[in-house]
Amino acid sequence: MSGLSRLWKREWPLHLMLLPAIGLVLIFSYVPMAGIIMAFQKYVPNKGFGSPFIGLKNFQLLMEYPDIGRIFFNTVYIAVMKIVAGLFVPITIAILLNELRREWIKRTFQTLVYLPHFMSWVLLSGILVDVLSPSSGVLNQLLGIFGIKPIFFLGDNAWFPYVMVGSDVWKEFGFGTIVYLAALTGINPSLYEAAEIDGAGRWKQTFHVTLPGMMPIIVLMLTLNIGNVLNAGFEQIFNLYSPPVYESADIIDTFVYRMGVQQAQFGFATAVGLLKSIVSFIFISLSYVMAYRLANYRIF
Amino acid sequence: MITSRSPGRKIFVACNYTFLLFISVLCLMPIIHILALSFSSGSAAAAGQVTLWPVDFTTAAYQNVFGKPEYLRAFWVSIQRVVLGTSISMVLMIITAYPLSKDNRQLRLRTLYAWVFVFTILFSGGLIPSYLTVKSLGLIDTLWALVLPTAIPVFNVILLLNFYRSLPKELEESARIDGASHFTTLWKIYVPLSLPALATTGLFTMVGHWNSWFDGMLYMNHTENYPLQTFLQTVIIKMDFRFIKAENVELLLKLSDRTSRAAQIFVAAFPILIVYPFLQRFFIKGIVMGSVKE
Amino acid sequence: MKKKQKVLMIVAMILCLTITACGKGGGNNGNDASPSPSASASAPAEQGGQNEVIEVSTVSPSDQYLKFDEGESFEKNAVYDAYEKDIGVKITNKWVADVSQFKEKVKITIASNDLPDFLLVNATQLKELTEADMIMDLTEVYDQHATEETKKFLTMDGGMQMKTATFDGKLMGIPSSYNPFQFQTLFVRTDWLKELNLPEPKTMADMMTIAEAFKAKDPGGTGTPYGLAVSKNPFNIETGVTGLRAFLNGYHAYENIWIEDGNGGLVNSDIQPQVKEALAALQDMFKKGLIDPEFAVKDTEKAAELIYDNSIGMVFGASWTPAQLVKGAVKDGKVVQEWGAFPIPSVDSNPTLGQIGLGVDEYYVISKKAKHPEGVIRLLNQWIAVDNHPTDEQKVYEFGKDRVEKGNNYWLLSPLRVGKQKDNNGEILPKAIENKDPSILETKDHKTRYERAMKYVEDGDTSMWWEYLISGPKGVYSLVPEIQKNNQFLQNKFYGAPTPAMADRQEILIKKRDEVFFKIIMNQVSIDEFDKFVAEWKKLGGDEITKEVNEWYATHK
Repeated sequence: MSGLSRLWKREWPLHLMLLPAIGLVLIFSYVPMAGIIMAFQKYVPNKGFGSPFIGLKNFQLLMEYPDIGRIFFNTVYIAVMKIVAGLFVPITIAILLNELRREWIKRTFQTLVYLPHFMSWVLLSGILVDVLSPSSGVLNQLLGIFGIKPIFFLGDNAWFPYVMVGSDVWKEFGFGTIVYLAALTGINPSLYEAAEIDGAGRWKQTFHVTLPGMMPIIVLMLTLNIGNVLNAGFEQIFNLYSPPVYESADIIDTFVYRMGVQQAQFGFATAVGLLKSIVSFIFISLSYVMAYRLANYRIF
Repeated sequence: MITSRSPGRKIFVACNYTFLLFISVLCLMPIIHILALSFSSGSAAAAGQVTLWPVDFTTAAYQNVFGKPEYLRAFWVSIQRVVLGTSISMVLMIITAYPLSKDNRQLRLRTLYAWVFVFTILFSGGLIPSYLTVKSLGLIDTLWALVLPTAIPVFNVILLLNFYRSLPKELEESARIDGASHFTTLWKIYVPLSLPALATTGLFTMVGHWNSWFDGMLYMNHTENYPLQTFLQTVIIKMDFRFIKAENVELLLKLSDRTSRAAQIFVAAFPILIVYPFLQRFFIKGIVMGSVKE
Repeated sequence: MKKKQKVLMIVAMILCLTITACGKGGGNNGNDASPSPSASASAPAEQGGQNEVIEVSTVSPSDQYLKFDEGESFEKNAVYDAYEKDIGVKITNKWVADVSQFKEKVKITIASNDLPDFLLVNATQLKELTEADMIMDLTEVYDQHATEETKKFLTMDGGMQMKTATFDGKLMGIPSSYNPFQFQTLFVRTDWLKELNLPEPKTMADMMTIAEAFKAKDPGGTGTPYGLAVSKNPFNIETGVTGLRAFLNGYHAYENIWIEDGNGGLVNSDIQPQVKEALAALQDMFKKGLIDPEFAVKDTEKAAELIYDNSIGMVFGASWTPAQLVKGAVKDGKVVQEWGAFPIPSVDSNPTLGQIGLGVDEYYVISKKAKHPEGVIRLLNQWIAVDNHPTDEQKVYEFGKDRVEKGNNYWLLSPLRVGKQKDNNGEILPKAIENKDPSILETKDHKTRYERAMKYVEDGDTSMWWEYLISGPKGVYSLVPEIQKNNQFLQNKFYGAPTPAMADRQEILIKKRDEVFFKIIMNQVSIDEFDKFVAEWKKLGGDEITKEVNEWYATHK
């Protein structure tokens, strides 16, 4: 009893600090979560969440879909590549930027690479069609110099997923760099001095000081991104795919979109959303537990 | 940190500059192209003649946006939204990440709390329930509808709590021994030492608020209340054949779907683009160490 | 360090101040502008007698073409005032959304069970609302309150469109009607035909000859000539230019409609052998390089680039195609490309039947909770009157207070609008323009089009070149009377809302179809894949849908 009240006395300011956020989250996230029930219903607007239950029919519709295996594979394949590249490229660029001495040059580069984040896929898709065109595109003309035959990047199933990954990384890496640059500022400069005295070169310093210093943020970003294993990027693929590449390009979200055009039901989209959430939840939990077990580090 | 300039180092520096320059150009070219598009005539853009320089230079696409009386109003709504939304979120982020950055001995239910937040980025009830919630709170057509549902950017909170943790423990301990309360410690030690992290999360929050348009459409029942991005979604010139009249055809020849989209991007992105270089000054190395030595 | 901290603190304080300041502004925003419609709706007019003003609420799309006169808005404007004064119906808006976002917002309004008195919905929503018992059976109220003129106006097509809004004998919505006779035509560069001494395209074989000549001779001199312009959604109804539906029609094949099987039942057109023939022809064209090999990734705008830059001189398109072609055809005030419109050629001696819709895909529905459904019907009556034969006084509905045309498109403010199910543009316009005789013009549409075409003919205003190609003596409309006289068109025999199997299976059928059709056209697989597709189509739910459609057909013949 007294132990508990002592605890309370010590901890109450911390609880108080959490109170507003918890309140907001309860109202604006947890209350609407009741809507997940629609995944199991045939939603009728004037009955609301009292609509008739149809059990797992929406999930069944998803699972019995003829191309479902292919769609899951495409989604995971593209998403995983994006996660890996989306981690590796910004970290590399952040470290390279960090090597620049002149502050203004560094800032200029930083700002330039951050620009593409603000472009929309609707416009970029038009540009990509031009740049990647086998007949007149710049890229194929460059490859032509090396004697490589023109490649129909956007119309060829063997290339399409990589084009998605490449163009997505191009668009987002600059924005992703920001967080690592912030992480770099937290590294204790005396560690570099010590390493230098030990005779470590730049390479060694990068591997023994810089990367370990960034590690918590890297692990954190990786964990959070792993939650996106079923998000392969709707806007991008929707604007760039076409029937000849359905085989390699059709992902869960584009499929749900096309279903939505035919079916004016919220139930199906909710069911797929729920499934995606559960998968993300499992993956994030796993990496959370792993980070804790292996490195004794709680990501959040 | 002055390194001896070995030949290897010199080669590296040269390569690094070249590489980063190349990457920047790669990022810049499409943007110059889009900029050129936005200043080109609709027919030149439609015929695909525009590369990196405007063809038949015209500012019609911008006039089409700026000429509308709604533009300034929408811009003002966006400013209000960003200021209000970012400040609320920043305050909440700062005070929420603090207790969560403690370890489980200092705050018993910490892990539970953390998961309560993380859960919300994973599961969502979807559009309709969110709309019904906001509606039943009477927030429709108010700025609060754009601000409160996203007031806790969980991703940023987690990011910030990790930055908090990387601060040296001694600082906090000495402050606590001096009798400082949690609030004082947070305000006097954590906040000033986390400037880079706060700038980062602040930027993310701001960009998020600035760029989102769907909630404006969802929660606003009067077009006067649209924030800029929602408004900009409405100014794309589409070929609409119900309206072909003399004056509209002229507009269609000057403008096109493509030029208006291009202009839209610059109108929308410019204000937020200048925020970033400004915030970069907060990315200072060694703040933490400096304060420890004090 | 200290300085930075101070800056941050000041920023934080300013922000805190603005929170309180903006909070007030934000809270009031809009609220003061919109009187709660439901509260005021119940107050006046117990029985809504003709003299008392009744109130009906709706939702409206706002459009960038609509330009309000000084001091007017969706809350208060000359058109709403006129409705209130003339027919005693006061219009209020539960919400106004931009036209680009209107449909999305309607979805949310329906799903959150928050209907205004009346609103515009699509066919699927009409069915959903009927089943959920959220909208009113209009049979009686329409019968009682619709004027004779209205009833005649909405059944000009023989009552087909009204039938699509009728469920179990009950009229559940008012069709937002328009003229279904929108035929696709073939557009060809006539200057090139002359230059290369080619005949006009009468048959599909002619068309192929022209395509091959355009490819071989490259009259545009671009180095990348093709025969026919095609884009990435060629079978989609929304692809108005650069589609292939008309091409299929030339082979007596049709895109995803239900046609009679000759035994009193219906079959889907996608799996008929004529489609295979059409695809074989397309594959052949692809192999000969008559189609851009990259068409699969180009949307209409991108595909049209090749038309504008003189690489392609032939394209199928809807009647308004010239308004698209003008972007390349008119340059610096001069017409640099000459185009002609021709009926869709046929592969054999049977004439081509152009595939057309029903002329209705949206409906006005009245909420079950509406207090004054008759007010909605009065709005309908009034619209038909003022849109078709406005008195001078009634011009206010079209132009606003001052009744002068100034491009403000005030007619967009009328909350309930229906269009003519038939027009005689094809009979009147080409003649009037050829003889420069405005005396035979009848409708408002005639007059606007005539004036525009005359600007090109008489004043040499080349920006109006496209109207001449639509309405002029050899324009698109001039082809219509012949087509209508000989019934050279085909409509979907199934006009119900999607059946259950359709809702679940249509997507996969279309996906498979597009995948196979594209691969055949692009010569990646043999034409015999089509037979495999037919078998798969049936297995994947096609048979089930066919069954349901035929059950429906049995009760709707």
